[in-house]
Amino acid sequence: MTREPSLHVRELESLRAELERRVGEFSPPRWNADPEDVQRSVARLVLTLVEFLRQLMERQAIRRMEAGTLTPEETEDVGRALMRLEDTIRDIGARFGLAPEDLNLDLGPLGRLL
Amino acid sequence: MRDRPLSREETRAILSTSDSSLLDVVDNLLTKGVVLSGDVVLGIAGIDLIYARLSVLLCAADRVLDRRDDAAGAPRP
Amino acid sequence: MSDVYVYAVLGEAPRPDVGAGLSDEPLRVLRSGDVLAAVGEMSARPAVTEAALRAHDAVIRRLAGAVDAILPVRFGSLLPESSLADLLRVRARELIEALALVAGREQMTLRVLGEAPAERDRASPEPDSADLGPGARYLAARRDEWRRAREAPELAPLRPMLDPLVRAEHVTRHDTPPLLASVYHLIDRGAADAYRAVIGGAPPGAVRLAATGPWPPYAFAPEGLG
Repeated sequence: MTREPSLHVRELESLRAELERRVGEFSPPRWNADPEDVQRSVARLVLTLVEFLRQLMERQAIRRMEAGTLTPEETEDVGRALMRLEDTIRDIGARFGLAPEDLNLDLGPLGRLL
Repeated sequence: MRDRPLSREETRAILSTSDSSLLDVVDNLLTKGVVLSGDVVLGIAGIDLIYARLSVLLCAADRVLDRRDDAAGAPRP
Repeated sequence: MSDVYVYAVLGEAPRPDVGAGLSDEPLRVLRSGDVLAAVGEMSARPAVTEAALRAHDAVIRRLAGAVDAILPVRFGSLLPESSLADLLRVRARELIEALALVAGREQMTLRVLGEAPAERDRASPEPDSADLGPGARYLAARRDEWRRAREAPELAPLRPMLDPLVRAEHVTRHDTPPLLASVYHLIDRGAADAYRAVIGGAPPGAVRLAATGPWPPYAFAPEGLG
């Protein structure tokens, strides 16, 4: 491997911070029900998993849309359903004081998919 | 649990380097490469109870969907 | 059955002279159908130290020198041999496809550095977009977001010179100045000098490019969920 123009200090810092963010995903993420607020903990886990699945389905829907294996009607129906699901997740979350950013159980390497 | 999860402290220690080539090594080895497990630890009252391996199940579901598309004669995504 | 530490997924058995694993343990090859894995016996996951990371990378490089196609496995992958065999069998198709992509190839890592992301062209309206319902417009907008997150428009001036060399591209956008994006390029083995010449010939401007490599194709391992 030959020498490369090295990164300046600020660039190095930036890369380091970015890697620290991403490498932190390595440990198995933990969900531990908070005994003081079990309802909120349960809501958070359930909504996070549903949001994860919603994004998984959205990605697949986009792939199929690009590949032309969805009819225009199917595209419209799937798009609408995904929109409604996103709104529903946000509404239910709001009832438990959960913002969209709270739904980030961070499924480790799987989370990278999204 | 057989494995000891990698701690943030270990990885942070590695990252406090001025060696940009080591950062590339970290990038390649700790954020890339084939992932052989995607796990979640579930617990209650601060006690870890369940260690769930998700990757085999999720992967299989994805591939099952593709095979059904094949069977139906639709072009594969 | 004991645990094995997995170094790489291979399409063929390597020559026997690839040396030992990162803990000096003997390497062996485990076959599961059409896919093989290079593993070493280990009782515990190695600590994340510079020495261990470099030793793991060295093992991958020796293996890469001994086979045509290699998919490096993430550091720290310790699991029961039976689980590994199951995973290889379940994921055989995607692994075989990935091995075909990386055969005879290696990776260059390109950091895109600058103060502001490149101006993005406004997405031109889809034909008949006025006729699209809200669901279809939503999906189209989400598709555009997915695409933008995986694009490096900063490389546009270099595309005519890069395209002949780049067999596959993977982009991770950071958009945290000065680190704008990391671009991973798959090139033919031996093309690193030509690649570096192209990057070195980039016109000076708002964006700086820093290339490292060649590396084994870490960034072209499949992500497991298609």
